[in-house]
Amino acid sequence: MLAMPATCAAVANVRENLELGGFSFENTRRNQVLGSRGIAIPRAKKTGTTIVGVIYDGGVVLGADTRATEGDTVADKYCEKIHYIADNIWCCGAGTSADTENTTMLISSQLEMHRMATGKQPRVVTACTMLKRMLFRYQGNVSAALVLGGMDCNGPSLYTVYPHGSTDSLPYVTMGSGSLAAMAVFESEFKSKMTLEEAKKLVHDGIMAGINNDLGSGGSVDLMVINKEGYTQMRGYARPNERKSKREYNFPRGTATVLDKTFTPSIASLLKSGALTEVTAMETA
Amino acid sequence: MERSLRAAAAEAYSTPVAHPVEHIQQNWLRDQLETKHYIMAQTYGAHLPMQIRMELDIFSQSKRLPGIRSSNIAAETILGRDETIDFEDYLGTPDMSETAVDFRAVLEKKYGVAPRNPLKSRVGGPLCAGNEIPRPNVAMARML
Repeated sequence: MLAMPATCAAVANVRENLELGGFSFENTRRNQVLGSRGIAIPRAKKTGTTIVGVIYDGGVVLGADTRATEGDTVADKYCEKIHYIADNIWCCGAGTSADTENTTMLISSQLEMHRMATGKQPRVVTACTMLKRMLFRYQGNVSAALVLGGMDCNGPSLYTVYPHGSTDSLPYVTMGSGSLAAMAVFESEFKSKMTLEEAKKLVHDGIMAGINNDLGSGGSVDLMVINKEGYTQMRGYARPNERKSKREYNFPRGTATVLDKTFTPSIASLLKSGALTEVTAMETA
Repeated sequence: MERSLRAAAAEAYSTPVAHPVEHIQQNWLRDQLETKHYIMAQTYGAHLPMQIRMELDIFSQSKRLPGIRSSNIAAETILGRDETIDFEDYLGTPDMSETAVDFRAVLEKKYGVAPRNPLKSRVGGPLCAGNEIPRPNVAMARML
């Protein structure tokens, strides 16, 4: 039968013993009070993104659009969605941008500590396992949908990580609200053992399908190539939505009439020129 | 009839858990340890988790003064938390708290020397009004 030592205080109070912090829920309680008084609490904004990844003959190509939205508003036309994990591993993020950024930053730090402990180049599966464990722990409350790609001793690998912690390992993947548009392109165009140029074109076409057909996606196409030589970032690989022209304003001099023109020198400049001494300056002040 | 703001606030702030993640945050590490030790006991025998828990108990006893974060290096090592980093390690840690810790009160409680009469908070006997340094959150004799 079960032989288990009785619960000890050190285990029961492990959080207090290690003096751990964590997320603050002060505002949740405040919002409960406000909500109970009939004040409407703002709801989470809709998110939208197209992120993709493709394995080619010698590595991985990741791609992302650059639109950041808050509901119906475009908050940023040229944001970065391909985040650093390690020199041989990068990660595209969809979902709440704060969550995706902090998730990838945390896993990047964990992986760096792991690299220092093992003295070996980190593997993509390691990053994937760290990500899914962390996300599963928070039961989908950390809103991060990721495309993880990289190159390690086992060759190129590519994963999708869902907010609840499930993962897929596939040769071509898409994520975000534009994933359907991008996957339609991938399903018809993907071939195994593509060259780098073919893979870059496919990723570009997938992201363009997201930009043009999904309202949550837009802006430019960012690419990231990871192979055994290292990584090559291609920020703004394609910029299909550049502003055609900026209106120029050329007003002739004197359009705005000058009503008054006075000049009062500052005490500092008077002191510097010697027109005023410290003592008189203090008296004036 | 609408409740008073005070009643609503009292209810919200006395709720132990306001959000599902708060529950996860409070219990996850402990539950994970319990499960791990249960599996250890089934696989290797009860002596293994017993020894680890004994060590953890010993390592949890030496601490810096309240208000100064202890390194907890031994406890973190046997838990395997020394070679990793988590949200709990850098978000809202107690040493970064906005409210000051009354470390005398914490120590008095820890060593069971808290006076029955809170006014006599010095161990050596009753206070002389006026010669005590005021401390935050502690009622002083001279106030009476």
